[in-house]
Amino acid sequence: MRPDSKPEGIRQSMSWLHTWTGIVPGWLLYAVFFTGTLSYFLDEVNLWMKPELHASVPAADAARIAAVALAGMGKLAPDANSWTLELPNERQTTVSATWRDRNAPAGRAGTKRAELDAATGEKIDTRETRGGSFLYRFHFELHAMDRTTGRWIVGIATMFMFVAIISGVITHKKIFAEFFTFRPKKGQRSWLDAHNATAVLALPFHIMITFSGLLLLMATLMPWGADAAYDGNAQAYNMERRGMAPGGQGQGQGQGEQRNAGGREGREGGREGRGGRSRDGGGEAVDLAAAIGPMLAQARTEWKNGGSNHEVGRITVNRPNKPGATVELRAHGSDSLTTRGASARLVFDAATGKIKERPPLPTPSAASAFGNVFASAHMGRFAGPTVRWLLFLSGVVGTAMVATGLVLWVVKRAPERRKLGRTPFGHRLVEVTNTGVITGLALATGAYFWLNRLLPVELAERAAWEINGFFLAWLAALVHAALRPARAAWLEQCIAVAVMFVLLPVLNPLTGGHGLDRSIALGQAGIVGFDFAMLAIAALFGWIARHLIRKDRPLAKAAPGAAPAELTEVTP
Amino acid sequence: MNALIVFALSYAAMAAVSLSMERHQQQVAGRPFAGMALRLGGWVLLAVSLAPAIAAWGTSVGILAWLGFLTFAALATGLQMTYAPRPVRWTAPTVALLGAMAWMLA
Repeated sequence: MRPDSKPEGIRQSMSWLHTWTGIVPGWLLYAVFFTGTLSYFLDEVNLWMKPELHASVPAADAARIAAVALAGMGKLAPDANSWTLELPNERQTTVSATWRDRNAPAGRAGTKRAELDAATGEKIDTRETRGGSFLYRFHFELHAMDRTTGRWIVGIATMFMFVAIISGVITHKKIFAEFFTFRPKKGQRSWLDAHNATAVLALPFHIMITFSGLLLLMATLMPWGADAAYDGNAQAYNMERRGMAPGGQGQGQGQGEQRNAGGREGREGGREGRGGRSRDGGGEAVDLAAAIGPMLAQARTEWKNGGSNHEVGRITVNRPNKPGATVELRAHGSDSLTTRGASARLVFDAATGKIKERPPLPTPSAASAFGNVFASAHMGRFAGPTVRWLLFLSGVVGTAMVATGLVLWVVKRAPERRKLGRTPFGHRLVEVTNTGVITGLALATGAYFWLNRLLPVELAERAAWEINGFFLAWLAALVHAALRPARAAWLEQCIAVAVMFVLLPVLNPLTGGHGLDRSIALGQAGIVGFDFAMLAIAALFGWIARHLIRKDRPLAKAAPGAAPAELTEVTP
Repeated sequence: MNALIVFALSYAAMAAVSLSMERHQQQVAGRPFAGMALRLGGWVLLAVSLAPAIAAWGTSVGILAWLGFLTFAALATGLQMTYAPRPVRWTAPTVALLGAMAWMLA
C-alpha cells in the first residue's frame, strides 16, 4: 500500500488494516457502544420513561411489600397457574408481576405482566413505550429489519472491531511506553494520545466486551455446530447448555421450564399431602399474604448462614389459591459470574410455611462457565452498583475511543487537504458522517426521551412514534451536518445536545415524574441516577462546545478543521 | 468502601509505575533517576490491590471490578501527569497509606 512501492513492514501493513477496519464499521460501532453503554442502566431508563411508576414508593419492610403485592395478585389474577413477583430494589420502585393463566399458550406469548404499586398492590397503568429496551435491542440487532440480519451486521462489525483492537496494539507499539502520556492542545498529536489512552487504559474492557459480544452472537453467526449436533433443535441445545434436562426437571434456570416442574410437583403434592381431600372441595386456600413474612425471614437467615447477605429478589407462587401451592424465593444478586447470575433459591410449602426444597445452584461445565463469565461481564446483569458503574464508565471510555478514532481519521488528513487546496469528496463524507453520528446519535437519544414525555399518552402507536422520532432526529442531525461547515456543525449540535439533556431533569417533574427534589427525598435511586446521568451528558457536550468556541478565536483565520499538522511515527 | 480501597491502592501502584519511566521522572523531579524499585513496587502493589477486590466481590466479579479500577486508576495517573505532575510525590504515598489503613480497619 505504499506509494513508493517499497516492501511494507508489519507495522505499516497493520496500520493500514487498523485504519480501514476502524473507519468502515466505525459509525456502526459507535452506535453500538453508545446505546450499549446506556443499556447498563436499562432498568433506570425504563423507570424514567414510565413516570407513572415514580408514584410507587415501597415501604422499608419487604414482608409488607410482598404481602400487599400478593393480595393485589389475588384480585388481579386469581385463577392463574403461577405468579412471579420481582420485588422493588435500588433500580426499581414497583413490584413487577408476571403470571400465566391456566390455558395460556406456551412460551412468552402466554405470559402477562403488570406493574404493581409497592405500597398498595394496585396495578399501575403506564404509557405505551419501548423504553430503554429499544436502545438495548438496537445495540445488537438494529431496527426495522429482520432480527437475524441485524445481528449479522452487528456481528460483522464486532469482528472488525476485534481485528482493529489487535492491529491497533501492534501498530502503536509505543502506546505501552506512552501509557500515561497525554499531550493536550497539540492537534493531531492530542487526538492520537486521546485515542490511545482510551483504547489502552480500558484494553481489558475492550477485549472482554468485543470477545463476549461475539460469544453472545455466536448462535446467530455460527449456528452450524449446534444445528448438526442437535438436529436443528435449538431449544434442546439451549436447555442442555444451561445444564437442564430436556424434560424440564433438573436444576432448571429457564423460567418456563421451572414453572412446569413446579406445577408438576405442586399437583403431586396436592394429591399426597392433602390426604385425598377432594380437590374441588375448595381446599383451604392459603392466606399467602400472611404466610409470606415468615418465609422471607427464613430465607434471609438461611442465606446469611450460607455467608451471603442477599435479600429476596423474586417470589414465584405456583398454583396460587389452590391446595398444594408452593412458594419459591430467589435471592437478589449472585456471587459468581460463572453461573451467569443464577442466584440461590428456596422452595416453600405454602400451607405449612416449611422449606420443601433447596435447589442447588447449577454447576456449569468448564465450557459453559467460561462462556457465562463473559456473558455476565458483558451484560452486567446482577452486577451491584459499583460494578455496574465501572462497566458503564468503561463503556463511556469505549465510546470515546471509537469517537476519537473517527475524528482522528479526518484530522490526520488535514495536511493532505491543505496541500490539495480543496476537500476531496471522501474526506468531506467522513467529516459529515462523523458529526451526524457522534453528536447526532446523542441528539436522537435526547429527542427520544423528550418525545416520551411530550407525545400524548393516548396517541395510537405511541411507542412506534417515539422510535420514529429518534430516527427522524438522527436524520436531521446528518442533514444539518452536511449543510453546515464542519466546525459550525459540531458546535451547534453540541450546544443542542447540552440544552436538550440539561432540561430533561426539569421536564421530568413537569410531565408526571418525580423531580430531583422528591426522588432524592424519597430515596428513589434509579430516578436520581438517571437525572444525574443526563446532567453529566449535558456537561460533557457543553464542555466540548466551550472548547470549540475558545479554539475558534485564535484559529479563526486558519482553515476550518485544520489543526496544526504534526506527522506521527505511525503515518506510513 | 471496598471500591475506594481498591481504587486507592491501584492509583498509587499506577503512579509508582509511571514514575519508573524517564519521561515522568523528568516531569516530577526534573531529572531521571533509578526507578527499578518503583517499577517492581508498583507491579506488586497492583497485584496486592486484587486482594480487597476479591474479598469484596468474590473471585469472578472481583477480577472484573479490579480490571475496571485499574483502567480508572491509570486514567487518573495519566491526567495527573498531564496537568499536575509534581504533587504526585505526596498524593500517591498519602492515598496508598489511607487505602492501606482503611483496608486494615475494614
